[in-house]
Amino acid sequence: MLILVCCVVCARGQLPQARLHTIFPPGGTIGQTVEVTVTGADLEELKELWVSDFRIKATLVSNKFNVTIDTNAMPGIREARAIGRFGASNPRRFLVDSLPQVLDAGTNQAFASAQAMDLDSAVAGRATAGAVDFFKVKLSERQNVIFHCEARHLDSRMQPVMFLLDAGGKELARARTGGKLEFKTPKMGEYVLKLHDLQFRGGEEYWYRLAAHGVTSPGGFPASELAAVGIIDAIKPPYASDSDDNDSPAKATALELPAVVYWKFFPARDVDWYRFEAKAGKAYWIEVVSQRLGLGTDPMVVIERVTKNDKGEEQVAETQEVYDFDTNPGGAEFNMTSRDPMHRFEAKEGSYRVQVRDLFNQHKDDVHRPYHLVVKEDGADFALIAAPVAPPPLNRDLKEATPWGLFLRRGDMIPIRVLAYRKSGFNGEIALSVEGLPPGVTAAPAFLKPGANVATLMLQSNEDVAAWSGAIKVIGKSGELSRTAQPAAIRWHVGDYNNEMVQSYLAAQNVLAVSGSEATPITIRQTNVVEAIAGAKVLIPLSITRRGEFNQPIKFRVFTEPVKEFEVDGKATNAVFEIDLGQLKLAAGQHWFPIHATSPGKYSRTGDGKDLKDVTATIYSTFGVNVSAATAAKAP
Amino acid sequence: MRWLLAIFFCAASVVRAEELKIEVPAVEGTLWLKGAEARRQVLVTGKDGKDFTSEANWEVSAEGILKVQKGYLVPVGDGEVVLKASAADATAELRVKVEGSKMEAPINFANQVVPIFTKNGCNGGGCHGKSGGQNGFRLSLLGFEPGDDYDFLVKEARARRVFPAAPERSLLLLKGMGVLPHGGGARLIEGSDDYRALARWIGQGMPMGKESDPKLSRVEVFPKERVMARGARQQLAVIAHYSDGSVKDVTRGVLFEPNDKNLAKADEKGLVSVFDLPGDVAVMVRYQDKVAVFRAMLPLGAAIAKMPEPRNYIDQHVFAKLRKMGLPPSEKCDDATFVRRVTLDVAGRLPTPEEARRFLADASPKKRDVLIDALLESTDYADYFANKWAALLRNKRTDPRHARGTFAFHGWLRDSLAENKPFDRLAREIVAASGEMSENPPVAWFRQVRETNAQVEDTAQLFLGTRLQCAQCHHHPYEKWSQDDYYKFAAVFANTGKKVGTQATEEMVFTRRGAARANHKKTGKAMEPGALGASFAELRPDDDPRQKLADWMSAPENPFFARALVNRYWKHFFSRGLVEPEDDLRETNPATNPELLEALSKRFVETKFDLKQLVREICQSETYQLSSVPNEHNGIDRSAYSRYYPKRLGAETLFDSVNALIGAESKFDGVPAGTRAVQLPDNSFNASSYFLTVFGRPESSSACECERSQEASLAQALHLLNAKDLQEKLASDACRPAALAKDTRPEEEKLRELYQQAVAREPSAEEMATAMAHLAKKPDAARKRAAYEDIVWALLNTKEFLFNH
Repeated sequence: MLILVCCVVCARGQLPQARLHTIFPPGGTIGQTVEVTVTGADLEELKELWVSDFRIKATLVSNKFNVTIDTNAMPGIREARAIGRFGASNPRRFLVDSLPQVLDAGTNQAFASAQAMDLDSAVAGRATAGAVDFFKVKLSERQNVIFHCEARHLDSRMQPVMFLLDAGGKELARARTGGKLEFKTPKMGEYVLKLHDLQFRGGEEYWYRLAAHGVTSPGGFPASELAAVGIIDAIKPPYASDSDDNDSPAKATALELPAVVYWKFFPARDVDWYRFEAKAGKAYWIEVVSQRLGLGTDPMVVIERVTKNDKGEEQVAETQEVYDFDTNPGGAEFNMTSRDPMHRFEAKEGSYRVQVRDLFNQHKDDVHRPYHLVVKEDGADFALIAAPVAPPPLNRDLKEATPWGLFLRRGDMIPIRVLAYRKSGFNGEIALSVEGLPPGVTAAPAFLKPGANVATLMLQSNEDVAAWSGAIKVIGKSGELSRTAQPAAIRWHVGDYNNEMVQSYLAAQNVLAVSGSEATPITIRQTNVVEAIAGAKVLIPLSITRRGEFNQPIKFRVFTEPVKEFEVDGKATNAVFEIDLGQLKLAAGQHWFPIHATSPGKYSRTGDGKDLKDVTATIYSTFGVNVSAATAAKAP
Repeated sequence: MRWLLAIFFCAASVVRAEELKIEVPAVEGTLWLKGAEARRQVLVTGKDGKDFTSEANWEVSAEGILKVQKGYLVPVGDGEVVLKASAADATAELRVKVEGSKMEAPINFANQVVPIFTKNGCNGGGCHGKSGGQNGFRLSLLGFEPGDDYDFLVKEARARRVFPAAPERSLLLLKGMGVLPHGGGARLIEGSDDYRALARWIGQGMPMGKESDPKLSRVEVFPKERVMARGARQQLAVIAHYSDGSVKDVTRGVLFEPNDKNLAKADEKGLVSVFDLPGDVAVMVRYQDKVAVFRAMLPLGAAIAKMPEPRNYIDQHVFAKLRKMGLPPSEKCDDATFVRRVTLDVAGRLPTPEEARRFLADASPKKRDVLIDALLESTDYADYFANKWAALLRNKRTDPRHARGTFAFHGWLRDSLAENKPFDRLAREIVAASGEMSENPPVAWFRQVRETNAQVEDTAQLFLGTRLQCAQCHHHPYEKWSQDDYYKFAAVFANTGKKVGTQATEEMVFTRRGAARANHKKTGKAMEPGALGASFAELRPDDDPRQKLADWMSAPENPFFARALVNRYWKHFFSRGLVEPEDDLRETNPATNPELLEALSKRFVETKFDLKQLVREICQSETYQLSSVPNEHNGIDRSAYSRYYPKRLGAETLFDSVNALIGAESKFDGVPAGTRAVQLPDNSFNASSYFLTVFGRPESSSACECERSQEASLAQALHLLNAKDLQEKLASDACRPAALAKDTRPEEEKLRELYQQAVAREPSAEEMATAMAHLAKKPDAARKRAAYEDIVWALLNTKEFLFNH
């Protein structure tokens, strides 16, 4: 098992945290066992390869994992996380299907030395920088063959490009986008598939799984765009019927509300029209789901209110154009914007027409561009995303984004970022909680205040907590509405997200690992929730518990608005800071704020104190204030 | 009111002698000159169209009525005279009546004053016509905005430039004559027509003219074309046609400009003199915002004993032209020349020795066709032409993060060419590209061609062979395109929007819904979409004007799209476009063989814009297969295609050819070893290759073919002679000289193979003897290797290797 210890976070001097870079091969066959190797950072004392499917078990054998896929497992993508001394890692995706799988031999970088593969089989390989892989396959006459090279959906950095050659090297077909090459053979014989990354990049992070399908390849994978959170609710039946013949206002398909239409942007420049009757004063919600299904579409909606003139002729009274959904509580790290239009409007009495089209589908007649159109009376709702977040860089000018996992040491506190997707005008407060936590681990109270769509939820562990690992769920409740947050993950480390887009996606699970042996070097806790009167100035007392060689000053950042910063010396066992409730404009109710603290110290990775190294630990805490208009603040 | 000649100017004459005729506007019997400002340039033409105007002896039958100088008639008094021209022992006569010779008509500023500024260079880009004017006085460029000019002259600077009370004291005239200090020197001569017209205009109180005054609708030049002997002269006459149907001789008021100054010159009076080179020349005539062209063919006049049998329509048109010009074509090239030529031109590489041997040994009469087809079916064709198009489409990497887009766009181009995507579809998928770069690579075009003006200008230049840049700020000086045309074109792209992409530097492109409009830079008017005379005003808010543009471009009757492409491809194969530059097609820059351009264009449309078929038919033509070796007559031919014009290999092809000859594997960072230079996706590799830079590989910075340098330079010669990397390759254990030295085959056999690799032929007896003698001087193994290095080095420095011929 190759473990990369020279990693970004170590270089920043943070405490170690397991991170999984690669898992290879990135897939396996149903009913078989595949030996996989993992690489990453801070992967010492690996114990477990957690797979998001109980039908898939991994056993650690000689620094590798034997992954056994039950015969009852369904084809599709799973997530694997490495769990070891330094917690649970970020996920890496793993493909499960029924195809027999072999590994890329590594000696197939010339046409003459193409590696043989069978039809209806798969090869797992890695692209080599500046090189091309060749595979040969025997095909019968008039054989339909689909070569499917999966990479991005398996978290690889590779962008596969494929060419199919005949036995003489003549190029027959090409696929530069989408990883799928379809071909019907003119005659029986040996054909050669040429495969490389679009930019001829390669290395450990450029893995792929190439499958040669004889009939049809499996369909796509579940939507994993961050903005896809909550769309499952939107695409529940009833489905309205549709046809190709609604390409003009006069032929608009009539909808009975609520309606969900499942149709496609086909052929190129297709325009579909729908109509429905609205009630005056009612609010309606119109939404298209397409790009969030992982497609390269750009849906647009035009809503027209139609009236009739004195002669009974229809005329358009109002027009509303709806483009992208630009709300982005996740920022650069968890970009939640979407090209799918979503729109709420209050109707006037009468008929409405809705035009749906794909602004990107201009030239290609592609049947694989489906969309869902949702038209319904408005109903408040929300969806949540919950993701672990890496400690912020010590140099605050850095705009890094790093894949991360959930790891609690004893006496520790770690944050989960919770993002809200408020829909249909929903503006209520959302109370956050966590299900599935083990004994000794709790979640600090956290809320998404009315209108807010970002919150930090803190998990905290007791000093005597036992080792544990497992999936947890973040729940948001507002009145009768209860929604489970969908986990999210960052695919690759990004050094500057202003220069490089962060790839983040919806994950299957949030997995927490708790250390039963290692304590956090410093524990900071609010001694009790402060009761205060609105507008008052109050002191917030914190206790500080230091362990090991962490006896240096601690810098605090308290995330009120504005951020409050202060420092305590290396011997301090408590800290107090003042907040001005009037300045913070806190209304009556309970309010919680995160605290980040950093302190240099010496840390032993092995825990025996023999390998002490300088690090700067980031410690999290939180404090709460119970604001009341009538009750005076109690002394701490 | 202007006095006009009332009858259309067409070929009519009064012939008094068998050898000569005086050509004047269509006048039944008598030419009438009415008004003090009436002028007429008449032409004296002999048989076969020879012009005697400037050398004829002119006589007028009575004094005091008409002055004549070299056929230019000026009325001085009322009456009727007989005009007599004598030359070459012949005479011709013309009856002329003059009326109202003292009557001065009111002046129209735009029609009569502004052209004076243009003719005298006052409103040129280097003088008062430049942005901001000159020394405080500004005129619109070339007089395209008469309204502005009027304000500048009459209203600006407290009207100090004109003095109606004493017109001759006006600053305008005093400066123009150089009486008062004038940076531009003396431009006006006191008493000249121009002087008198300006003085008269000032004296009349500087009238702008009436709305109802006739507007210039077109200009016409006479003759329109001529076959001219070398050294001959031709007087031109220019007639302006007005909106009321009237005409006026404006010969002395127009600008004359030949398109090829090696072939001809023209003076300010319209006298064209041709030099000694055969060819075709066009003289542009510009008056106000209208242009016309005189075309002259300058034949060689040699006897043509034998003309090849035409293979296709291309030959029919080329050979017809050669017959007209008396320009005998060269012989058909031999097989060795052909296999090398066509492989380089179609596939961008040298034929391998095996390919050359096989082709030479093939006895089939169809082997040239077979070879052309095979090359077109090879991916080398797609690689080579993708390289060409990628540069023109600005597939440029100016940021390392651009790589994904440049690789994708290049790949898309290459695959499109390999699949022989019809060119109209290819163009549509570029100009109307929408989506994300990684899914729809032509979107990358909009990354480099970011601004609307660049989109307009690149589209026009690349796909329509029209340079519209000028029309952004003023009327096109050589074409009919105005700012209105420019901003209509801009409206096509007005709704083209960009969205943040899924990767930094990769914006997504889409078309916003709504009425597309572009604001006219000068008038502020919101212009509706259109393109080069076509209007797309009927577009609905849901329509993408770019799709409409693509519809219009690919319509069979489009006068630009097919012509631009076939001319561009013609130049690729023949080194010279039928129109030069190849992306500057306009009325004032006519093709050397218009019938051929028309036929190529028509055929391209008929084949549904089939690029491979176009290449196939060009390469199959006898014209393409003519030898580059001139005969005793056609060595000076530069434009009639009487022979194949040799061309230096392009930077990438030469780089690959040198490697092929030396037996070296190319190595560029970021692509697999062995990737040839013609397969490189973008410009970024130039920085690491001095070879590519010095031989002119373009940086993909513009849509102009001119960015690729085909010039020869001392630096290139020195590089091939002395470059360290070439010397290292020659001396490498892994390269051909070392292998040849070790090879135990007879030396002659190895030398034959070497020559086949370099020039696709076997060495001549003399070459073989020279090479053998050199090898014999160095018989031991180490020295023999050095001898082979010498021979390979010598071969790659031969013109035969460096040129496609």
